Amino acid sequence: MGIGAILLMVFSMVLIWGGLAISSVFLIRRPEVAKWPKGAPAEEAE
Amino acid sequence: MAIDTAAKTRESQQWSSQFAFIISAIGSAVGLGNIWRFPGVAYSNGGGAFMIPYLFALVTAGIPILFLDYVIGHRFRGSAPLAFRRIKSWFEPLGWFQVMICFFIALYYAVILAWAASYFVFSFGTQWGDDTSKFFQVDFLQIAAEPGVSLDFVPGIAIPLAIVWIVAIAVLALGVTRGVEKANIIFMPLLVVAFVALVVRALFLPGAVDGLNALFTPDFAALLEPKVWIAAYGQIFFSLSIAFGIMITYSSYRHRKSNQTTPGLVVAFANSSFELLAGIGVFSILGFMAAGKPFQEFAAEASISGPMLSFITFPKVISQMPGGWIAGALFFGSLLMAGFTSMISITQVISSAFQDKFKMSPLRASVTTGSVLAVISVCLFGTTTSLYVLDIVDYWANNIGIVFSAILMTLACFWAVRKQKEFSFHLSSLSTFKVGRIWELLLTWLAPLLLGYMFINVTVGICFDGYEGYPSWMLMTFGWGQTIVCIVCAFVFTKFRWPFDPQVFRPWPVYERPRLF
Repeated sequence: MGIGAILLMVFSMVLIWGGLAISSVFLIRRPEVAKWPKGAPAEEAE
Repeated sequence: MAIDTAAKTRESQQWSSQFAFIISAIGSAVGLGNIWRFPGVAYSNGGGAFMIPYLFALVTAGIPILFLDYVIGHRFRGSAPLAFRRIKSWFEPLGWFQVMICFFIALYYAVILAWAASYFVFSFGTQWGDDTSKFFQVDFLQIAAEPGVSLDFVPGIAIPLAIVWIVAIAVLALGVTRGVEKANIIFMPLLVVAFVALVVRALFLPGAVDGLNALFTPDFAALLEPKVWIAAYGQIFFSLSIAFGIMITYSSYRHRKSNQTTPGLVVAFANSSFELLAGIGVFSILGFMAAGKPFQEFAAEASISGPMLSFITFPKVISQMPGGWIAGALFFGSLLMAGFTSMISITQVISSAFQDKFKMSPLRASVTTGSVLAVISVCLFGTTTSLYVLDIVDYWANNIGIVFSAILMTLACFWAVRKQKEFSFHLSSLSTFKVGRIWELLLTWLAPLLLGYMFINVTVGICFDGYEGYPSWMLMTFGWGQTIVCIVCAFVFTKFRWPFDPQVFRPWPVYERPRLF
């Protein structure tokens, strides 16, 4: 396998699978949004 | 005042968790296109270099339009027609236009699942023999010699097709939480396990490295060609299930407080991850089949994309592989599961729209719409001319219908009623990952311009060169006829009265337009 092909394959894997991993970690850390928007009283939420 | 039945439905049928929504959205995005379209498109558009425009398109169009779908569904709490109606009353036909696109896609999507189901069974005895092309076209499809429309039913297709419809209607009838969500929670992990097993098996085949070399060897000169960039945007656009109502419908069933953008990123990257995995698996297998022959020579002879890849080239490889029936079952099982989870998302768009507009229960809406779809689907695609009709309907639905719908959607929201500030406020208020000016600019300028270019390019091409040599009456009937039916039905359905006043609705979080003075 050529060096260009290997580099492109690794580049794609890192960006795409890395993107998936990072966004998943963010999601696990903050699954639901607890932060209320400014000025929106809590009772309006549901 | 009449009760807002759409709001009541959304209270009773919400996704049970964030995970359930994400897995269902991934199930919708990961479909047949990921498995049989992406590898071929990447190979013919610069190989490894294609990944650069592909990733660029993902970030500049795929993810922004996905967020737009999410915000419309989540903020306006309705199926596509109701959500658009709530944005502006005269936008409702756009929602129905998207429902009609789903109607046409569902018609032919089901038949591909019927083929995949049959091939799943055939793979246990590699029943296709040595001449897989003859088996698929002559023995299985019994395809007519000339393109046209016939009512000669092929029981081998019509019966599995009817079964696919019965299962789909049953899932939809159970509603979002008990039906769609449960189906995705069962099928998606199974799909991942089956497909990873297939890719691992493929990587150990002799010649796999040659296939991967062919797929990833970059041709950087291709990046200077506009067609490569258009192909990248097209691939991202079609594979993410955006701009035709699916994500609007799905996000309308989410909790009010649910995080918007981060799950969107997970869905988009998961879809691309599966595409990349499919590219690696498919080209490893093709490398094995090329058996030392220069890959370019092999690719010129064999079909490396679309239904022909799945139903002619792959069975040939499976017959040659040691323990090929396992690979066959894994491949067609994966195709079936990926396609089924996408199909239920497409039909859910239609079912939800009817539930909202005609005050139907999920059971009644799915049986009514599903029966109509099933009858038309069996009549059009259960016959000897299925492949010809499918090819045309698919091309128009994707390249004309969805692209036109996306152009209208961005123009309507970002130019006609200038909702960009309100939408970015909604997304940022409810998300860990904020969107801002860049997101607004991408959807106000880049998306309509790119989509407009794609639309004009395809339309001019069809007008001057036709499509695949089909007779013009077929293109007029199943191509342009389909587009006209979508537009007419969009206005006809809009004319029916709502069972409640759709405008009596307060989007949350409340957005106050900044005062200029």
